[in-house]
Amino acid sequence: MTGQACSCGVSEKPLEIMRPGGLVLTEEALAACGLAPPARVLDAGCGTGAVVSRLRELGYRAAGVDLAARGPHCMAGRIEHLPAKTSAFDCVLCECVLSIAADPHACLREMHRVLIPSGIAVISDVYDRSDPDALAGLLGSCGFSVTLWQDHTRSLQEFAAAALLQGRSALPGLPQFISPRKAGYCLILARKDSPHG
Amino acid sequence: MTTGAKEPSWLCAACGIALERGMVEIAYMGSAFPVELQRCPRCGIVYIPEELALTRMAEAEKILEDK
Repeated sequence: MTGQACSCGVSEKPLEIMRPGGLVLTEEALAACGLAPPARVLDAGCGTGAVVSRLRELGYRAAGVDLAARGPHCMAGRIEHLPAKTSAFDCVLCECVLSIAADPHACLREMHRVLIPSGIAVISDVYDRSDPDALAGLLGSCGFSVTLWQDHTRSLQEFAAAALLQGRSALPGLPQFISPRKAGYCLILARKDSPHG
Repeated sequence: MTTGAKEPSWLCAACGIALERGMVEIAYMGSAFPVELQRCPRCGIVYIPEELALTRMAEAEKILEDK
């Protein structure tokens, strides 16, 4: 057996990464929206509810919906049929969800319904770098106007590299329609511009 | 060196004490990654297995270089 001993560039500080960009990207997105607490925020596809918990710590009136919802202030439900009243939220987060959703149009239409007029949808997700306008086009067809589009592909690459170094699959949730070499990651802010009908 | 169930345990050559498993952060190509590795609890030197150095780091490098 051979190996290498190294002390350069190594520290004890742990780093938790939930998805590309993590909670930092979520908080940056909310700041870019100009949404301050106690704005009403729905995390569509909240998973374990980590974002909901963090946002409530910050003073937002946050709630989550997920098929396998766990944790306080999180409801079990489908994004295509959100268990929420019309115009109930100032902002809807949808992170790493649309790319794996069976019907992303239906998800966006529901997000549109539960947002107040001029409410903001925050989308962070993988995208095909050979077709970078696809997500914006999808949002436009569902009654949203994109106000911000940021590339965060480096975060995706760091996320994949971290998984590899930890002995896991690099991009286990990558949709089949995106090849790993063409996979990018983006943050989009989109404003609800009219009732969708 | 003593024999373990999954991988060998190592002694720090400088300190003469056993390395312990723990999370360390590897600074690599401008990014930082948490990885569980064996490290000396006294001087902090970290043992990087050959498989990690030659295989996983090489794959991670391709991703980070966007190749």
